[in-house]
Amino acid sequence: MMKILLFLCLFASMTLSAQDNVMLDKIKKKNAAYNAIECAFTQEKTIAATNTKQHLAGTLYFERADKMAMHYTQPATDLLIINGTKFYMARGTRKNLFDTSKNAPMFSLSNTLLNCMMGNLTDLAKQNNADLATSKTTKYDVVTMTARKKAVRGYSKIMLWYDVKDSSLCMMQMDEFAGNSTLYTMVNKKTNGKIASDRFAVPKK
Amino acid sequence: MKYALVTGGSRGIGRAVCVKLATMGYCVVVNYVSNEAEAQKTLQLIAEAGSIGELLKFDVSDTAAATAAIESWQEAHQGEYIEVVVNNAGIRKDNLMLWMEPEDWYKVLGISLNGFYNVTRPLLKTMLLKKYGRIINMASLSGLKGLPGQCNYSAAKGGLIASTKALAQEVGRKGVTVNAIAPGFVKTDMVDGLDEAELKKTIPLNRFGEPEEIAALVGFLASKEAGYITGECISINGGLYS
Repeated sequence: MMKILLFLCLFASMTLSAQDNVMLDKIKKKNAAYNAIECAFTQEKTIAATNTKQHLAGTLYFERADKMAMHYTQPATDLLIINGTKFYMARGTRKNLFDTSKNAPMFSLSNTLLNCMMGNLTDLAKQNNADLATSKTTKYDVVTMTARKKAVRGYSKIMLWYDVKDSSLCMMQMDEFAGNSTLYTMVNKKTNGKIASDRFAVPKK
Repeated sequence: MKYALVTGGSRGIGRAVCVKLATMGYCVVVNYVSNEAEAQKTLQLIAEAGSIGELLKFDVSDTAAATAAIESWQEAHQGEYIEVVVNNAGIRKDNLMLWMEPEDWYKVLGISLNGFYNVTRPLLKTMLLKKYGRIINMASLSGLKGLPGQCNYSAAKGGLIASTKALAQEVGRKGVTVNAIAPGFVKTDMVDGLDEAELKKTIPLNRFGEPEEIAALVGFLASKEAGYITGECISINGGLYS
């Protein structure tokens, strides 16, 4: 009896309701129409150990299905580019170029960012051993992805706010197991415009 | 991200070690040589343990292949390094010395002993520069006591224990610890064909060990708490030999 109850509890925690599926399908389908997105973004990172906040900002470019760039203006030294299997990150003077086909953590990060932009959340949750839940506000369809297992590294929870009308991603909060949290806010979105290819060009180190 | 490399990580003790290190927050690099399906299963268990893993296929007994694979990993992980290496890969080719073929002698030594050199040497420089590292070598009761029918295996594991002690003295000042673990009979396919019912009568704890029990010791030796232990070979054999 206990085993059956345990199975039912596990099954319940892994099964999405019809309502969840409707919202997830809507987000995926509407986002399938966006081949390119350009928007301004702000990034607020809360560091748990020091209880401090960092405020960053810039322009985000996305091109389906494997290109994303965050050109920071604040600070202008920072840059993040995903272009196929190339993942470039500049933080101050530190610059790194990763090949995501050979680097699992960077693949995971790249895969998470791209799929959140595209609204491919069911597959993403499966790949990350996470559970999905949905809720609704007047402005947003909200999806929460929670890791099934407590870990030392990585994200414990990702919350995504999609515009209730056009289903474009408006906010994304990534909570780390270590207690740090990052909130991205995307505004002034232009969809399906032409994005210059140099926006996704990976600089030479 | 913290990285740990486990050689022979696709099955048995190696797999249990991968899962243990995953629970400690390591991104686990799983080395294997041929069984991709089992290696993929280990990756899945690492993910279920809440971490992330990578496969790194190469034959530890092949110096050039090991160097190339590790250099390729380092190229793909700029700014990162492998801070824990568990030299676990090993095979048995038992026979009495009188009938032991040369290839069985060299193959067993090639994987356990040469493998330790081939994998550890390319990783050592960064550990020394970073002033932190954990090298854990999977030896065996056979390397301490010597077991009949295992002259090759005993030689490989005995050599590994001696090299553990030597390397520990070379690198201790740089914050790198080097230890060995000598398991007795553990329930893996390495003990397939042995008479468990008969053998366990000779073990004071009256049972074979579990891979997870070996992994727990590896986890401790890999932790910061074990920072004052180096050059040791720790037996974990249910009291069979002390």
